[in-house]
Amino acid sequence: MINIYSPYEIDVEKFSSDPRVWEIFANKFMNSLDNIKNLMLLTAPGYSWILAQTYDFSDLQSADLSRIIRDILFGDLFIGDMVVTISQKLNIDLQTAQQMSSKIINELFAPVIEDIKKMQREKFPDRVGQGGASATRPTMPQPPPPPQMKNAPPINQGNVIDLRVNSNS
Amino acid sequence: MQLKQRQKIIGVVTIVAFLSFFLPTHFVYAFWWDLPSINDLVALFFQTVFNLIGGVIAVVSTALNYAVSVRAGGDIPVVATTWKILRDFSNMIFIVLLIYMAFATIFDQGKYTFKDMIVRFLIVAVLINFSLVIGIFVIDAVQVLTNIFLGSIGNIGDRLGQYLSPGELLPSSAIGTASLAGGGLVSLIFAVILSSILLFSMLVALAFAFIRVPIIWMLLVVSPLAWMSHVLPNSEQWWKKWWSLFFGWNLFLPVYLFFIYLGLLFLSKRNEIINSVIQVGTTTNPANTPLVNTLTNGLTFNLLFFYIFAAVVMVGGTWAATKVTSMVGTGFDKGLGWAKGLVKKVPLPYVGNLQGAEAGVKARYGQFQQEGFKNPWLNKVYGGKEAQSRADARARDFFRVGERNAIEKQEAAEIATNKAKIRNMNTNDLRTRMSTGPRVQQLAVRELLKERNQLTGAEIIETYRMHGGDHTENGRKFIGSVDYGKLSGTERTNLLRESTDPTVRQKIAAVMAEKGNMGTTPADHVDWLANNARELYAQGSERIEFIQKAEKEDFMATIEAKSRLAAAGEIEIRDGAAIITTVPDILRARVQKMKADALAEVDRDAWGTFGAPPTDFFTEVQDKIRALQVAQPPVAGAAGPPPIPPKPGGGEVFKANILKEVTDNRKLRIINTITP
Repeated sequence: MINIYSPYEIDVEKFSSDPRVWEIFANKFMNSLDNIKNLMLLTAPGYSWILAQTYDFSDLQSADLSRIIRDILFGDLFIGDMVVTISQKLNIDLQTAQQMSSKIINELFAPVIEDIKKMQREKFPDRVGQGGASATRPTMPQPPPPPQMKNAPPINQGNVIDLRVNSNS
Repeated sequence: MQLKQRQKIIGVVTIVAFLSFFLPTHFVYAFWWDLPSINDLVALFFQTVFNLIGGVIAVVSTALNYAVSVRAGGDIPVVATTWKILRDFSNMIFIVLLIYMAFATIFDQGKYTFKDMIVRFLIVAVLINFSLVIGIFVIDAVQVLTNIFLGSIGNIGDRLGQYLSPGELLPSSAIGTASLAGGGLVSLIFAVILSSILLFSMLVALAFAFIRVPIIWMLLVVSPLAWMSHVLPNSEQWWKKWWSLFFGWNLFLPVYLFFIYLGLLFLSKRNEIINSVIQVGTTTNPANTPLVNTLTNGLTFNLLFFYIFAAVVMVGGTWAATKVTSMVGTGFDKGLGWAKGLVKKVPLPYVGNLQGAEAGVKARYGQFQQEGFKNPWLNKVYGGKEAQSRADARARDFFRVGERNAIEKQEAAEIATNKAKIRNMNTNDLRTRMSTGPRVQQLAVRELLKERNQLTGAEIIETYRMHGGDHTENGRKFIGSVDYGKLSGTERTNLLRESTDPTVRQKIAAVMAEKGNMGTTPADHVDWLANNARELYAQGSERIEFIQKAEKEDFMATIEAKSRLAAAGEIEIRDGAAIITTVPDILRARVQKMKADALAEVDRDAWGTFGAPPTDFFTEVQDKIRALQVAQPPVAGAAGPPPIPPKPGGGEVFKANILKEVTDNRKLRIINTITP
């Protein structure tokens, strides 16, 4: 019987049926660090169960949450996309997704957060900035940029330091 | 007594000479039968003496001119013939010297050994045959210098006559008719004295000029003996003495001629010198006026001074020449040493200079003395002090004297010394020296390479054999320090077969079990494990421990091997209180004892294939997990609030622990199928 709250077990039966897919999955698991394996096999199922109880998730939602956690632990999903992914896959509002993401990162991932940061930097070098902490911070969807002003205020570009350049990095 | 007589004679002559001044000096008018006066007799005597001296001076000056022109070298039959006799004699002595050197080397007699004498021996053996040529070469070289002065001076007698004007010494009028009253007699006496001085000085010069030739010939004749004396350290003084004399007598002539040349140069400028000193014109020069008014000849201060000067130059030149040449002779050694030092400091390609090269050669020779020939075969002929130490140690071992295994300890010490010498050498250089040179050096190189993990398995075995294998302590020590995991399966198999040392064999067999070098088929594995466990270990627990080393490679073979030994009573396996011997019992007992990580490492064949029927091992593991799950059942979560998470059962945790340790995706796939 599959444990839907286990990020490891959730798709293992499906993957086992295809040797090629299994090999990819198995290699990702075997190449993971011991504490990540431990979290995936023993800690995450209980934590996911609590989340499911807290937010009253269905089995499908619980299974999807396990998959999201697995993908983040394997480095297949960018942690910055966690809120949006949870919101979309579990079909919940962004506010709840944001709340749940923060909870997962601060509680479930806490013992392995440095390992996750390292992995995320390797897998998504173009998306993760130099600041490690910000990489693990789930980001809200950005509002659309304001329309370009036809007559922009004159800026002395030679004397004024454009702080906006650094504010996003 | 003789001295007193001579003093008396001189005293009497002086008094007579003094009193003669008071004799009447006017000519006595006499007839032909009249007896001549005392003054006439004295004047006649001094004139005769003066004439005699003048004649002798003429002869001596001719002889001196001839003597300085004689060349000591060239083809002189008498010299060449006698030289050949002595050369042949010297060559015979070489044989004696060789024998002497051989015995001195055998008995290690300090300065007479082969190493101390061979270089000089060989040089002298060659050069002794050229000693005449070398001598004549030196003579000819000096003759070049001599010819320069001879060419400048010309005839010495003529030059002296030209500058000293001996005619001026004679009284201005004929002695027979002139009155000896006044300075006539005094003039004659002065003339005799001055001409005697000149004669004496010329005789001295002539004597030296003549005797130098036979002396040089003598030195040429004995030159083979002089060279021979250079071979032996104690007779080397004769060699130095010969060169000292030879150089001295050769250089005598040019040095003497130099002084003569200098003296004649002064004489040729005598008027100018006097004038410049007195600073007056020649006509009124008081130096050119007679010393005594009554003198009837041209005896002036000028003439007197330069006669004395000429005598001093002639005699002093001879004296100075002998001194200078003896200095040259004495300085020959120093000069030779200085020249050697200079030559040694001349920059040379590759070696810096000769001095550096000499130091290098000395160091190399020291190394040669220590280590002998590099070539392994020649090293057996001469292996230096190290070989001698080995021979001593071997003899001690043979006669059982002193500590045991002396030869091995000696060899180990030599290897350690050699290792220290080459420790900083890079690996590539070490590899080039791995198979060259004496065995001890090769072993030192190989041990260093082994420490750097740069020896292949084949080279390790080769080195082990070079050490003497298990028969030597060094061999056992070497092979005991090897990481057998770096060897190939075949190399390990060969080494296990070759080695007789139990400890080494146990280590090799353990690695072979861990690496699966147990044969081809599972049955081979069982046989290999059972046989080696039986052969290498005496205790049952040791045998079991050894067999279990193969669990990662062939788990079921270990179970069957244990079963075989257990059935034969060679090991005892208990499951609780019961002794078990069958494969299923032993399998179950073993799985029950194994931890998750050990089970994860068990070979893939034992776990089975995905989709295929479960293996016995898989079944046992599943049974174990299920038992653990029963023993520690899972706890369901509580909805709360606050919610309490579910707790996995003992079997689930054990399975998760196995999964964490698995490194083979196919094993992982099978383990997934275990249901707690």
